[in-house]
Amino acid sequence: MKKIRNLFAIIMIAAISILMSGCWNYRDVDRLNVVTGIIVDKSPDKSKYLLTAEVVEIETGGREAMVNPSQVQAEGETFFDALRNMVSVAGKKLFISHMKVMIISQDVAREGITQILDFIMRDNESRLEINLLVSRDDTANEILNYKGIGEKLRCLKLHEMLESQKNLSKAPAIECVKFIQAVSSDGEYGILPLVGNTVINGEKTLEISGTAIFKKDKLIGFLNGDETKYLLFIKNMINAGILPEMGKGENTNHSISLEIFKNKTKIKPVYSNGKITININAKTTVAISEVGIKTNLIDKGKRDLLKTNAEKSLEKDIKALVKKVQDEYNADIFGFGNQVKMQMPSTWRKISSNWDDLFPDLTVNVKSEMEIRASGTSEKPVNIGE
Amino acid sequence: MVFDKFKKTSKQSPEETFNKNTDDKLYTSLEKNLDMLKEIFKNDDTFIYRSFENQGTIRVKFCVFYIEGMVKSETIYNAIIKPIVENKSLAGKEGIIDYLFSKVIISNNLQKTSDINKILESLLGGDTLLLIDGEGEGIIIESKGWQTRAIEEPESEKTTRGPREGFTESMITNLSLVRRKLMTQDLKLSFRTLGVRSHTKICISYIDSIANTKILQELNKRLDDIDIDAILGAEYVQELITDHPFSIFETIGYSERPDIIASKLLEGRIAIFIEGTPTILTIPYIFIEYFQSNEDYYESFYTGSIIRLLRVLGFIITILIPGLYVAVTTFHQEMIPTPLLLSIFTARKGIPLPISVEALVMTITFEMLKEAGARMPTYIGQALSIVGALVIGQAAVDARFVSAPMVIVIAFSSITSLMISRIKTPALILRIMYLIAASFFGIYGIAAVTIGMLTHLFGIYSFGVPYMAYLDIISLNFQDLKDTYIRAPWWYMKNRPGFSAAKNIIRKSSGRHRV
Repeated sequence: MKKIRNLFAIIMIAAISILMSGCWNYRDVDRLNVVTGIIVDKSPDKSKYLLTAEVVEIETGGREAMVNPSQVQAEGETFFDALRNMVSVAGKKLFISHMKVMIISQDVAREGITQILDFIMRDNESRLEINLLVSRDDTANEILNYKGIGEKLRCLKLHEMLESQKNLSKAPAIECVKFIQAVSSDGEYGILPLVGNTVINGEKTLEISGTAIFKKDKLIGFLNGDETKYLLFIKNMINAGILPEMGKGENTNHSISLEIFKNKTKIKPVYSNGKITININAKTTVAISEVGIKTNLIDKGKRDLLKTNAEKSLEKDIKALVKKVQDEYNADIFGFGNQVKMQMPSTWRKISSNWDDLFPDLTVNVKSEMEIRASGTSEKPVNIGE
Repeated sequence: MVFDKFKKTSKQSPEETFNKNTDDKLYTSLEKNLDMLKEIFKNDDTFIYRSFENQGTIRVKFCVFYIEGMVKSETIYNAIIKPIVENKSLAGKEGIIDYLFSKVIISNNLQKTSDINKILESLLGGDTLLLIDGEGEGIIIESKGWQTRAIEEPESEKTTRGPREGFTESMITNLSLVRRKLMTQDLKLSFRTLGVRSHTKICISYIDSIANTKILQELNKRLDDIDIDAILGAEYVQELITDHPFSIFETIGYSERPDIIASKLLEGRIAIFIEGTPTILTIPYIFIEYFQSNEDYYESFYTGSIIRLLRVLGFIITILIPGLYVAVTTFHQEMIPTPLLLSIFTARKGIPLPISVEALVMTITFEMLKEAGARMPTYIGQALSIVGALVIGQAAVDARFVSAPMVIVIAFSSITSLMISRIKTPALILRIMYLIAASFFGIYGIAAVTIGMLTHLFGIYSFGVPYMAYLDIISLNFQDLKDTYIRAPWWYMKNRPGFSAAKNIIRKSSGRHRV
């Protein structure tokens, strides 16, 4: 009798632990509709969401099987409604765990993207490290028809392109979770990379360059690729990149390129007489990677001259960007507010409520320290005969 | 009713059917003894007897009995028949047995007895019986001389640097092989007989000053309980004395190599030699011994340690990989990196079977191929491997019956299972258990099987020694780890294993010359 009772208890425990243990489901991998990216648009009459998903299509021809992109499109009253409506088109439920990018069109972004962010956070399949992008074009889903170089799946290509922005620093590669952090904090506004097209040989080709500026959850403006680079300088997000420098040559203005190896930017807010001053200090290690003038820049005096010139122009460009953002957008995308909050919490408590009013009038000092570390493998510039 | 009847017959303990002399003693008359032995060996044409007389003035009738094929004919001719027939100085029947013992028969092992059981045992064991007319006792002369296999390197336990000799089917040869490695009077070798019909000789061997007496007593007790008609292989004994008859893990070790047995004896273990099998059992046997190989000790300790870690890794891979693949591809697709998912996705396109069924079918197919290849003559084995590789590897993938990643996964787990051939059965059972659990519950099932397996492993014993000795985290101590996952240098292993050699734990005090 006792044995039966024990056995019953064991069966009950096993059954409960199996049946009550979260959600699990058997589904073969080939029954999935793997989504690589979702593009959020407004329907032509601007009343509904129009979602386009890029899904992986397997084409079997004989022995070989090929991965091809395929598109699924559906409309819906809300974002999730549109996503679910795709089932009626695709036949299989979309599997979005492997989604790499989500592209938001300009008009959706201008209206606000809170519900999209909420869906990404709330859904159990979607990941917080997907890349969000804003489309520069009016209908974002055209992106899928642009020519891409290499990868057939456009969204994987976009992901790859964002990864390689590390070597270019002309667009910020922002993960969804970082963006959510930025828009939910009161001392910073969000930025997202911009995706658009550029025409190569008469064909529209994907291009990522520039930044979309968000105030709260709404899009308010853009920065171009070069401005983005200085934005990343301030945000200490530079890993690599090129600083073009116009060298003062003997007869012509030939260019000099400096390659960024390392950069460390420190922001130090100072509070005095009721006014906040932001001191930006950028320490950059660069190398000479291209010289278009005859002067040998390795010489001691010339090197210092180049260093001073480069520092000055970087300071000027950063200042110009801060001025533009202060005047045109009044959006603290640099995170100065958060720096004040971290370094002077008591001051922040006093001023946080009217930070938006203070931001346009902030005094920003920029100090650049450059170290020219190397000059590639050549000592002297190419000597062009007279 | 039918079953009752069946039950009754099967419950009878095996008994000999010889119709023996009631008081089990020899008669004094040679005629009567001859008739009795002829009756016992009725319908057995290998039973040979030959009567003869001596040449002297006093004639006595003699008769030798032996089993053909079990004896060396020259011994019988040179040591018994020739000296007796040519003997001319036999003085009389008085004291004839002692006379033969000391002056006539040329043999180093003689016995006189009147016990029929003893005589039968000796005859069947290859000895010769000499009966003298008018004497109630016979003389047993050793004349064993059957054919045995030469000493060869065992196929299943090859080494590159160690000794190449292996055990044979002859127990005496085997004992001599071990004795040659351990020339000490401390090495005890005690005989006993098992099997009501086979009368198989077994030998319990241990080093007196090291071995654990309690384990020895327990072993003797379990051997006493054995009631079986024949012992034809080591597995018979192993199954009859094991602690956990239903466990998939073995709690008794075995080897075909004298060097391994010698090293186990030196660690305080007990070896059981069995006549007729080259497999020698060792007790107690703990889990980590699956991963130890004699090769580890003949190579540098770096090699030994790396290979041993690889074996542990191989075991984990072989039991886990198919289950993990099924779990990840059917329940947890988000765990797979995107490029890998896409390549699995591509490979799976158009495959008719679900992944779990595919994995099970492939596992079984590979095991079948392996088993078919194992018992084949070499020339057919080659053809088989070609057919297996072509049919399963190439054609099945091309025809989109199975996916290429599955072939890779199953082949990988099969190859790793060959790393430790000794653990292949537990590995196969665990692999299939993992596979089934994974196809129903995903990673959750894998965790459940792992917990079950570990609970079982930590719960079983081998002759009172915890099976996972040295491997449990609670009693973990650095000294104990020297010969487990790694093989420490010889000069560093100063102690013997505590569970089997507690009474003489120090292997050596100082290991090597000072540098």
